[in-house]
Order: sequence, then C-alpha cells, then structure tokens
Amino acid sequence: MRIIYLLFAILICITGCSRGNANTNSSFTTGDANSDEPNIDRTPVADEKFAPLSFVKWVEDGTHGLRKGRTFDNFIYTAQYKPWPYIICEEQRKEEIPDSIAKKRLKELNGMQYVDLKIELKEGGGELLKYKLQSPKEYESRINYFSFGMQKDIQLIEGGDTLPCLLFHFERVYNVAPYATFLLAFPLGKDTKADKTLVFFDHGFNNGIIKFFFDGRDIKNVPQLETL
Amino acid sequence: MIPLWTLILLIAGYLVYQRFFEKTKTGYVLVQDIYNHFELKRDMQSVFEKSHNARKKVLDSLIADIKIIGRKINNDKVKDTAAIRLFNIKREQYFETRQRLNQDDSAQLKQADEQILGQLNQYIKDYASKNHYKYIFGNASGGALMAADTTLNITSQLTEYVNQRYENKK
Repeated sequence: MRIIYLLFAILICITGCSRGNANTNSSFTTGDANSDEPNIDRTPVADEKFAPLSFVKWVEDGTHGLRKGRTFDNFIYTAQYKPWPYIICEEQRKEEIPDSIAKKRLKELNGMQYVDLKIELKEGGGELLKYKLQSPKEYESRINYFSFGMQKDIQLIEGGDTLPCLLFHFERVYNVAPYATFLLAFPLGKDTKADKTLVFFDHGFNNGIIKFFFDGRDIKNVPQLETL
Repeated sequence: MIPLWTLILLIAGYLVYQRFFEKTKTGYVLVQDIYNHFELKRDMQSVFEKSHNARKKVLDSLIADIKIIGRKINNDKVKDTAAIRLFNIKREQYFETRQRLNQDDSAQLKQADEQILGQLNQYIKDYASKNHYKYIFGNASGGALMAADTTLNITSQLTEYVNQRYENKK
C-alpha cells in the first residue's frame, strides 16, 4: 500500500513540474499580458466612504477597472480614468480633506471628465521621445506631435457619442524617466456613468488605434470620499 | 484491489501521454480570415477612406478646372494663348498631384498594414501563451502549412479573442 501512495506522490510531483515548465518555459514573448487582462473585482463599494489615501489606492488599482493597460512591442500604454474626488485627493495630498475645500473644487471640476494617458518604455531607459530615433529632425517632429498634433488623435466614445479631447497637456519628463504623461479632459456626455472607450490613434510610435474600455459598472461603483 | 503492476502501467501510460502528447498543443489559423475579420482592420480601412477622399477632392477640383479651360479653348475661334498656357499648367499639376496621391495612398496603406499586423501578432502570442499552445500555425501562401486536421483550426476562437483584446473588453 505504501508503494502505491509513493507512486501517486511521484506522479503528482511530475505532473505539477511538467505543467509549471510548460508555462514558464514558453518561448513566446507576450509582453505584460497580465496587465492587459486583469480580473475585475466588482465588490460593491459605491455606498462606502473612503479616506483620501485609500480612495486614491482604490482608483489606481487595476482590478477595479478604472486603470487600463495595453502593451505593444516595447511600449506600455496606461489610461487612468479620474473621478472628480480622485483629482481632489491628488491635488491636496493629505490624509484628511476639509469638506468645504472638496465641495468648492468639485464645483470647478464637474463640467468635464478626466483621463490620464501614460506611454512608457517596457525595457530601456532614456527619454521616451528619443526611442529608436533616426535623426534629430525626427525628434523635433515627435515633440511637435506630442505637444500639438496628438490632441486630435484622441477621442472618448460614450454610448453613441464621440467626444473630442477639449483639454490636453503633455507632461514631459525629459531624460529623467522613460515615460510621458498626457492629461486629457473631455466634455460630459449624456450619461456620465455609461460605458466609455478612450480611443487613441498613435501616430507617434506607429502602433495604430489603441482602445481603453471603461465599463459603466466600474464607474458607478466608485466609492465616496470621506471628508472632514 | 488493483494489482500493483496494473497501477504502474497506468501511471507509466499517463506519464508518456503527458510527455509526448499533451505538451505539444498546436492549432492553426486561416490568416486571411482572421485579418479580414479583425476590427482594427475595419477601423483603419475607414480612416484610410476618409484621408483618400480628402486627397481626391484636390484632384477632382483640378479635373474640373481642366475641363472648363479645355472647353473654353475649343469654343474660342481665336486661340487664347494664355488659356492654353493655363491649361498646360493645370494638366501638369494634375499629373503631379495624381502621382503624389498614389504615393500617399500606398504609404498610408503600408503603415496601416504594419500597425494591424503588429497588434494581431501580439494578441495571437498572448492567446498562445494564455492557452498553453506550443505552436499556432498560419496558412499563409508560402507553403508553411500544406495540410492540417480541421479540428485544429482555431480561427474563429482566435478572431473572437483578438477583437475582444482590440476593444479592450477582455
């Protein structure tokens, strides 16, 4: 009987190892596929109140559906949907925010919807805009595109409406880090909590049309901000 | 009670199956099919048509000008040399613009193709990795895949997967 148990144990070990190897030794270069396909956690929290730091953490957690990543070639594109209280928390950067400040800022923000788009290099350092440069002229044309031309290549599709990018700011970090961030703002659509797709036609690095889908259920599930 | 030698035989059989059969999971795709049904291809097609039509408007307006000037030259009893000169200039412009339009069209199509194939290849690699495929073959015309069991055709599953990935809904 002991021999049988031993044989079963060996069998389980061998099977486990062979499956493990099949996964890890894969010769495919997949990029960061996991960040492209996270398992969304839709535990209802819309009625809960979160302190500023927890609120920021919740919004930035990819499993809550408001942060979407796409990986192509050596580029990682990340879109962060920014609920209004998130912007207030980011601006204040305090553990407690007075209710009066939050309400005042909310009034100023509530005419638009905001998304951050980040483009970064998966491997290699240096300035993003200098990635595989062919000539100094190409560098200039990239700066021009990301500063002025890119805005028209970004849209937010909400229900049947296509919303143009009204506010656009390119945050350059020069040689400090291999990424660039773009702050985007769109007008409000008919239903602010409907499904939304951020569409970016990347003419800068030639990766084609890139979409980021934000499920309306995740937008509705944003918790409330706890204020003083 | 199962005799010991039967159990050993079963285990050995299972290990042989694991080693030689299960790990070599393969499939193939009909490349043209998946390409044609890829949503990015359709989106790029509509982007191309918009730019092509905008470029063609310039050409159409030149054709209209040439026709008007040509008709005027034909109808005039005394030949107007200024009109003939203008006709020739416009005709020259037409040929230059047509050549530029063709070049721009080809460059845009080539770039679009690179972008479509870039994303398609990435999604297929991800699908292979996620579903533990060792190989996914394509039936491209180069003769790489001469014959295959149709049960290994994963074109429809893969088409659904790549479109969901493109729309970022997966």
